[in-house]
Amino acid sequence: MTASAPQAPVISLRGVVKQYGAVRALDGVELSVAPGATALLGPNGAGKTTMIKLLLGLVKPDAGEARLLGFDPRKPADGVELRRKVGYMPESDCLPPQMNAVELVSTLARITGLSESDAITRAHESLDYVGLDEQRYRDIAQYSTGMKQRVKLAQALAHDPPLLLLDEPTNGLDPKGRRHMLELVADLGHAHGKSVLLCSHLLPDVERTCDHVVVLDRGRVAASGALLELTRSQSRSSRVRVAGDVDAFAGELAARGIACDRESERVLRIHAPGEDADELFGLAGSVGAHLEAVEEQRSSLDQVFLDVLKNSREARA
Amino acid sequence: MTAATHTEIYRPFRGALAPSRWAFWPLYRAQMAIATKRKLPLFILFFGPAMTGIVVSFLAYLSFQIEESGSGGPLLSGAGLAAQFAAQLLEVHKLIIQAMTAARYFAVLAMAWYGAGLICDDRRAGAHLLYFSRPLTRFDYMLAHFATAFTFGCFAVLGPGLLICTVATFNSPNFIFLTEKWPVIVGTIGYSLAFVTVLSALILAVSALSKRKSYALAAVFGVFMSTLALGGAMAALMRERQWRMLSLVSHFERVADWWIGSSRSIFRWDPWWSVAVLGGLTLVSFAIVAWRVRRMEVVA
Repeated sequence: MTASAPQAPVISLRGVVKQYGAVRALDGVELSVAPGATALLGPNGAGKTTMIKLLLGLVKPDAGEARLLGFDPRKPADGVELRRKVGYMPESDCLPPQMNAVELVSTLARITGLSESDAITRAHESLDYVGLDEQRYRDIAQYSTGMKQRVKLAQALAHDPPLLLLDEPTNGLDPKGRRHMLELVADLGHAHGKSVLLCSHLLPDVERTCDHVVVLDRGRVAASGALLELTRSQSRSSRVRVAGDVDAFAGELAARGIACDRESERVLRIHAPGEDADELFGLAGSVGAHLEAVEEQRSSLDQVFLDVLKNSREARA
Repeated sequence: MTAATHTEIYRPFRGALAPSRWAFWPLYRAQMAIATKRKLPLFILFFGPAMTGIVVSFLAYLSFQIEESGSGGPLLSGAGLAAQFAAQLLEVHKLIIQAMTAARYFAVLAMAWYGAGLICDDRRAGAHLLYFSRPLTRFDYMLAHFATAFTFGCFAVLGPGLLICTVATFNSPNFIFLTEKWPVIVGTIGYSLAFVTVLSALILAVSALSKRKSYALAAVFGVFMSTLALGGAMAALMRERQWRMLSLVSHFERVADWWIGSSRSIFRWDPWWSVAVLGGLTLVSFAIVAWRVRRMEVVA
């Protein structure tokens, strides 16, 4: 993501500040989101909702510059136009109970600019895609939570936007429904070229669907980057199986200030964040040992998330 | 690529999105569709205005038919015929005023029923989150809701008024009702539109301030009945009709007297006062709606 991303960013925020009275919801946010599936993480009050509203052009930043798909949400004309390019799936209940799914999705598609016949066709295609069958003709008041979540996703897809803002799409779903929803999100992000910004508190969902992560804390970006890079950079150790003189290898590591524990006769756990595997192979060779296996022990996203928040708060303190 | 749990594939949209110049229209149509889904309330609420229109139109028709049969004889002179026509036209004129007065209460009922929940139900359901994430401006949103309440008001007030005027026009000899009494037709249309506009704005404002439709419904009737009762009570206690100015209904009646014309007006205040009160109420109502909708958009 960020500077190394080869493609133009879909979302770009430069020093964005948004203040509600005494509360600074966004505090100089610097962010660049490349096309693809990106997770927006953060504890309650981190500024995620404000950021989504800002991206939809519903609130204007007090300072800084925001660009979404090249549009400036501060300009009223751009604000309206960019909402044609964005599909938004809100977290909370938002479906009018007296309408059925076809009426709702086609109405929203019409508002977005589709002709009447296109809107009906797209409503059915979107509802087919999310797997809502004959129930689409029943009033939404009779829907289960899972069906409502599918309708919310279908309405976000109705106008085929290049960018999807999905706010907690698996909220309230049973395991089967959750798996289905995550498959849809992953399919949209990976197979259909949609850029997805996924807000979720469920880190396993993020790990299954997203390639990039942005962690917000108290209105600032605490961390951002590719999911693999983040979990690697936070990794604590590598587990290596050594053939040959294990003691000599352990001694060489200690001499270079690299801590290690012996797990078994031939297995060492090396605590060296970011240590290159090639260097380990070189060290082993220099003492007459060689490495049969190197297994990088990655941090879970949960651990990364907690560490990032902790570091961010310590830095501020 | 197909997700494993279902067999449908994602189909990209190949068409083009048109700029939404009338973005309020799909929302208005959806609101109308929702409102007319249940037929029983529709029948009950519009039975009164429909019957008023039909009965009064029939009376207007009858008055002209009796007139024609009566004028067939050779006994009446030209001046006598003209006087009789004038009397019949006046009779139709009175019928229109009576019909408008009767339809007014049905109109309040129908408009409140269909309009009171428009904004508060959206907010309660969270539907505004979906609408405002689309290229729909606050103005479009307000216009769609206003148009919904306005349409039901027109069905209840303007519909019967136009029906009576049409029947009177086609049954009067040589369309004399249209040629001689066109100010009554214009006044009927103008008054109906003004009444429906004021009431729509008021109902939307109450809806925007309420949490539930039932509260909004009670509040709309509260405004009408409490001001009516207060104005009537004060006028009776103080023995002064000017106190009726406290009543919203009296202001509507004053404007109807002025625009449609009535020889039995009991109101003595300048009609511009009523126009000012109703205009001010409309402006305040629109300001409240705009303020609340702005909050809904930002606090979405």
